[in-house]
Amino acid sequence: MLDLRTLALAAMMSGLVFFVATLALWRLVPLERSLRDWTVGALLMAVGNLLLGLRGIIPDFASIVVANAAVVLSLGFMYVGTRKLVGMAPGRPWHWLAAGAALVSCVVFTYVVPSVPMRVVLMSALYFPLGLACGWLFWHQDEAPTKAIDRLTALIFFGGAFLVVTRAIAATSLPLSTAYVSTPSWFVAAPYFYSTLLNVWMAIMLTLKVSARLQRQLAEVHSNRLRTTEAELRESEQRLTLAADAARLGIWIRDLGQDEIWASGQWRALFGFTPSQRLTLAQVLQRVHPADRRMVSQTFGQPRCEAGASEAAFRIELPDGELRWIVSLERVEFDAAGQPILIRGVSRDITVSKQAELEIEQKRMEVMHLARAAMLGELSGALAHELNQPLTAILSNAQAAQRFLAHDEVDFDELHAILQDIVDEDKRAGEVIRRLRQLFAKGETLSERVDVNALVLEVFHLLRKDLTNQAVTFQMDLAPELPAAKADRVQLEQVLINLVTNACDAMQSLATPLRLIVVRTAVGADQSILVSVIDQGSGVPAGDLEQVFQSFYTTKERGMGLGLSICRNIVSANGGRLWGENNPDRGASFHFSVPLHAAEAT
Amino acid sequence: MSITPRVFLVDDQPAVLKALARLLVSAGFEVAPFESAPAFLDSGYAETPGCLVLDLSMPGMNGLELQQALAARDSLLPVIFLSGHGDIESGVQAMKFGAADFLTKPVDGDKLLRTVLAAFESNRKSRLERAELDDIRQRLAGLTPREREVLALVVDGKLNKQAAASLGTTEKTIKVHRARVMSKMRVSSLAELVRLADRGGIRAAAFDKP
Repeated sequence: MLDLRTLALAAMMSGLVFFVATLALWRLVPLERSLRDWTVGALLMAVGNLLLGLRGIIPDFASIVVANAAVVLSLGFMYVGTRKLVGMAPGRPWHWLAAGAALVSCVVFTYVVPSVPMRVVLMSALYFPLGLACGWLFWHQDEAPTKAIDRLTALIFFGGAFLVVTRAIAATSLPLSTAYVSTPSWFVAAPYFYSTLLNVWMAIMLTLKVSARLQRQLAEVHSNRLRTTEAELRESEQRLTLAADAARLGIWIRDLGQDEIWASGQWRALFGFTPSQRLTLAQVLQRVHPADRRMVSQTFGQPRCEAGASEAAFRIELPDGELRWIVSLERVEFDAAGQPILIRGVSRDITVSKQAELEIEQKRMEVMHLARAAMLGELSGALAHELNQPLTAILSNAQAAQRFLAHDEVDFDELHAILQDIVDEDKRAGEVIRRLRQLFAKGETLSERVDVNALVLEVFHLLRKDLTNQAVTFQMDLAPELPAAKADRVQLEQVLINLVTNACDAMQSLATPLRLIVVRTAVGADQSILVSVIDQGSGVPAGDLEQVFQSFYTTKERGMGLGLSICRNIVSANGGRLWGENNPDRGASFHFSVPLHAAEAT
Repeated sequence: MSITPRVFLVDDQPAVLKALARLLVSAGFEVAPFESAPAFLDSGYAETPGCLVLDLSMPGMNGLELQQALAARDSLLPVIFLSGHGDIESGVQAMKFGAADFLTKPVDGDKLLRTVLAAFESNRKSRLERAELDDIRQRLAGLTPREREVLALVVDGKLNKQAAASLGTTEKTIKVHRARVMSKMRVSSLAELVRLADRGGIRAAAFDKP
């Protein structure tokens, strides 16, 4: 039915298929090193089968010696490939030794002592251990997804080993017909059948194995990457926690779905909660100082519907009564539908810096108060005079009225006029006292509309007596229709009084007709109002123009050296600037600027 | 014969000026108010009887400057200063220049009125003295140079004989001169003559070294 050549051709063709398949696999998956050996093995198998099939057509050396050696070598390469495939080292080059042995024995039993059975026995002896070893390796391969394939492959190898043993036994008793080419016996045909089966199966097996292996590696890579990402996440979270702890930042997250707040240990310590306590918004708000509670619940209680972070500083009261200043920053997060789902925030203890800030503010207010008190001392003469005028008028009017009443004829019109004058003068005295109280009042910096021109006039009235006594001419050069400034009126008045008093003092050594102070108001650059106090004194030594603003710098015999430094503080607190310069001819000018009132700014 | 003394008020504060004027008027004084020192100087009242109630510190010419200006004009008006603050330095200076008094505001009405009355009295006296002195000076001016020489020697306590000797004339001539001096000076006794001559500033020493 089938002649030998057809069988050999089929074996060769299947060997070629095996070769092409492994070659393609090898090129596609070069990382699978065993495929190189399998490819070589497949090529040798195809060549060996071809040569065997051409027995009688080509010289015996090629069809017997070379062909057998090639097949042995092919199996050897498969063995190496198998070792590599199951993850073992390539091992020693036994396959070359086996191929050499096959070559030598074939030559010997073909040319020196021709004996077919001996050839068959020897070849079988070479095939058998290789097949058995390959089968063994496959049988014990423990790769779960391809277990069935491995077992089947092992069985095929074992089958081959069994076949060669059977052939070796049969070779001694079976007579070899010369007509085996046209009608081959099972003995001759079986190896070709087996070879075809082996080739086809190996091609399938390798494809399956490599695919499975790739799939597994892919999964491994994937899970490795997941593991790495997870580790990195943990790592970065730890780093964040460390940084947050180091910065004393408490972290909290409020889930808007449930009324529950997650908070870091640092945050719980900050707010005086135990690490395991369950937290709700109401509990947290309970900690907030009553004065700040409304503000906090408005800022953090209702999630706003716009993105962005909000910040608030507030006080909390711990159960033991300790007061802490906290600054909290929060950010709302939204779901895909734009609904707020959670609020994330950090809180920090700013008690120390807040206290320092409050202390500085306190100190500043005390210094300002001190300055006011000192100024009040300086002004007491002028104020006494201001009060004296109405008091004098009132007393004289009242005593005049008493005398008029003692007269025989009482002039009621005159009495009426006297009483009216007493009322007017009393009001004037009241106004003086009100002004005095204002100057003396300890208060925070206000931002009000200030008519600077009116302020200059008021200062002039306040200092008129001092100016008169020192024979100083006070000239007001006021800008018409000056817009209002935004400042604290009383503080500006203090600054102006100080500057005018300084100007007076600077001209004490001057002949009286030369004593002139000009106060000028103008609209300055960048939305400000500029006030200048210009004197005719000896000016300020050029190097001291900045030094005069330092505390305790004074040129006066009885000065504290606080006036100008406090003035500069006051002007800065009002958002302006105070500086001095020498006039080109004589004397010095001190200027200060204050911002325009918002309604006036353009 | 004489004009009623008046109180001249000078204060730059209209309300105070008005009230003080009322007070003085209520006590029956005649009052002339002025709002500044120059206004008073220009009024020409400096020679009239009365007194000046003056605010110490005023713009332009202050109280002390007005006081000095009046002194330069030989005014006899006593000056009562009113001061807002008890400025000792100004007070001392004012008293040095001959202020009648130095009161602090607010001033009690009775005190002011008493001070004004006292000032009126002193003004009256000094005006009388001034008038008397003018009279004596007038009489002295009526003497001839020779009579003055005799007067000087007589008030110096020299006897007629000694006077004659020092003037190089006879005792009789001296007697005649002396009688004429007595009649021109309208005195009847030597003691009276000495007093008048003294007040008129005649001294023997003035003639020692002609």
